[in-house]
Amino acid sequence: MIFENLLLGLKNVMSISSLLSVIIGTALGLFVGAMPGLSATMAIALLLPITFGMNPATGISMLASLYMGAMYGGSIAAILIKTPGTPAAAATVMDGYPLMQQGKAGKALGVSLVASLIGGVLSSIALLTIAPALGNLALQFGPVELFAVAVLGITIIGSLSQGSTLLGLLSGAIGLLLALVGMDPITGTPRFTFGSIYLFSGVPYTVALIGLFSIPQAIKLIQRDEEEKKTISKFTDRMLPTLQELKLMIPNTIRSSIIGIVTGIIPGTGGDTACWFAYNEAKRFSKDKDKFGKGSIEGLSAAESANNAVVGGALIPTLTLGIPGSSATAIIMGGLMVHGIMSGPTLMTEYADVTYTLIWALMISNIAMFALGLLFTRLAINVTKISDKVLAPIIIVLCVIGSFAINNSIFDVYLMFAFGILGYFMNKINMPTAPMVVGMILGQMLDTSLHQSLLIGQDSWAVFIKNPISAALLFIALVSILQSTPLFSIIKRKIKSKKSDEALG
Amino acid sequence: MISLQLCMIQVYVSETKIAKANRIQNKEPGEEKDDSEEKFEPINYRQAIIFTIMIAAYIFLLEPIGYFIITPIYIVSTYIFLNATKVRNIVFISIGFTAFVYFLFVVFLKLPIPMGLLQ
Repeated sequence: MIFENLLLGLKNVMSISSLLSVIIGTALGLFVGAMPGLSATMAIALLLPITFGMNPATGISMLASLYMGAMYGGSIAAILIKTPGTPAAAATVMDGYPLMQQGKAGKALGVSLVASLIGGVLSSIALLTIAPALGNLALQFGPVELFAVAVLGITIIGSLSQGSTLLGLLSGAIGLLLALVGMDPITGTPRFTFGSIYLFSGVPYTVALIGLFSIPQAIKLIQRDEEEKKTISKFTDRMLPTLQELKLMIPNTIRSSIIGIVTGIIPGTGGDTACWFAYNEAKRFSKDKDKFGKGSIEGLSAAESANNAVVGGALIPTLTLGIPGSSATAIIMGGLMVHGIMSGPTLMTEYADVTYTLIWALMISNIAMFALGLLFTRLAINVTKISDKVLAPIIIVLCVIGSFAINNSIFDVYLMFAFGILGYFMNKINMPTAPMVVGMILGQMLDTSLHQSLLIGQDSWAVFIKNPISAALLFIALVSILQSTPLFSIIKRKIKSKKSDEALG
Repeated sequence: MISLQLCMIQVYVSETKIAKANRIQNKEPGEEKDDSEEKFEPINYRQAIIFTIMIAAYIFLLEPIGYFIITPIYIVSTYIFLNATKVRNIVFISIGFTAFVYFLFVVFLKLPIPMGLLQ
């Protein structure tokens, strides 16, 4: 069954329209990633409405390949102008920029491209093997377990996102509250609609997503007075690394890719965590640690392979359990739901054609990324020269038309703008927006499964504790909340001091 | 089995958190710069507020006037306000981009867009 689906997916992705969408997606990702002002998440949110007109598999493949392409694109700006194009390329700056100062910009970009390719391919393989297995397991989940999965998803994302755990959980809770707006999925009673007919079908989270990730970004681009002109030099040396350098990279990239995949699987941690984690590990294992920070090929390849490996990893919980691993995968999940495909256990069986096409598309996007990277990196350098002030209104125009096109409603545009303003202030107080989005997405699942579980348990909440799987999941959720309490911070401080002792000694 | 796995993930997760905290503590010289640059940028509040008001005006006029008339007006006025680029570029971008959106959404994707006065 799984094998048949694998072949079906491969056959689907080999069609011209699918291949074209993968190539366009990767190329867009490459350019968007290269622009320091634009994040991959924002680009995926803006591209989302365009994919509605396509068939689901093609559209979603395009979004996923954009994500993959942006991970490499981010390193272009990181290496050449010392500004990471995406947050996930922050560790790339450490060794990429020194290499460019030594006149080896082409080499640095080439190493980063090869490392991205290896990371991406390994993570696609992980997705291809782990997702069907986990999906099979998740098929046995009933409403009771699904409720626990949703609770765990929100708490983990809330507590692991950047910034304080409290703000993260608060953000998740607001998301849940927003998900309750509209008609009750089981009884049909309207809730929190304030008599407005527009709110009867709930707050569309795709609209919220576009607002949250685009408007704050646009305002941030223009709020500075004068932008400093950064001079970007063209590079002339060869991009492809030599066989000897490749030998140095291979063990390193494989380890970093595994780190990236695992970090990606955990909801709430993404490329920005993975790249530092892999970078530090590479330094620990390396024979010449002194070269790190001064243009080490090992350090560069570790950071770059880890952030591409995150993409496949983050898609694993998204596709199998319906818990998005990051804000980018949350949007991909939103894209699936717009096509009427519920993320979660059924995705691997009922909608196997879409899912397996997506998995293969991710694999193909690595090859597209490699080819486009070799051809267009020189062109992408010019893109980094575009002024932020030119970009900002274009972003606004795109998110206005995007939010209108989702439901063909002007009310959604107002809603998108409101979410944008909210998102701007959330950024101001360092409150992560990803938990809110995840709360809005998981809220529907939580709502339905809670209702169903209570029906099963005859209105007794003990049903969640009696079931071993849900009890265990809820226990982990509890632990992740307790992490932020004073009790845990004492223990953490102890471990931390022990760790830093080790690091020093 | 799955609970065991998830427990392991939890342990791992707290490790990454510690690693993150450690990183903040033992900042390497290169990192420090990037962090501080992000946070302490002087904000031009006047510019940000007027930009936001212009967005509000844009979306409220969207339905009565129509997307393809108000969009070039919005782009031109924002560029002039921000002093973003040369006049030649302003004209080129506002018309070119509106045309691009028209072909993508109306001709290619056939999505309904508010036409307003053009109807």
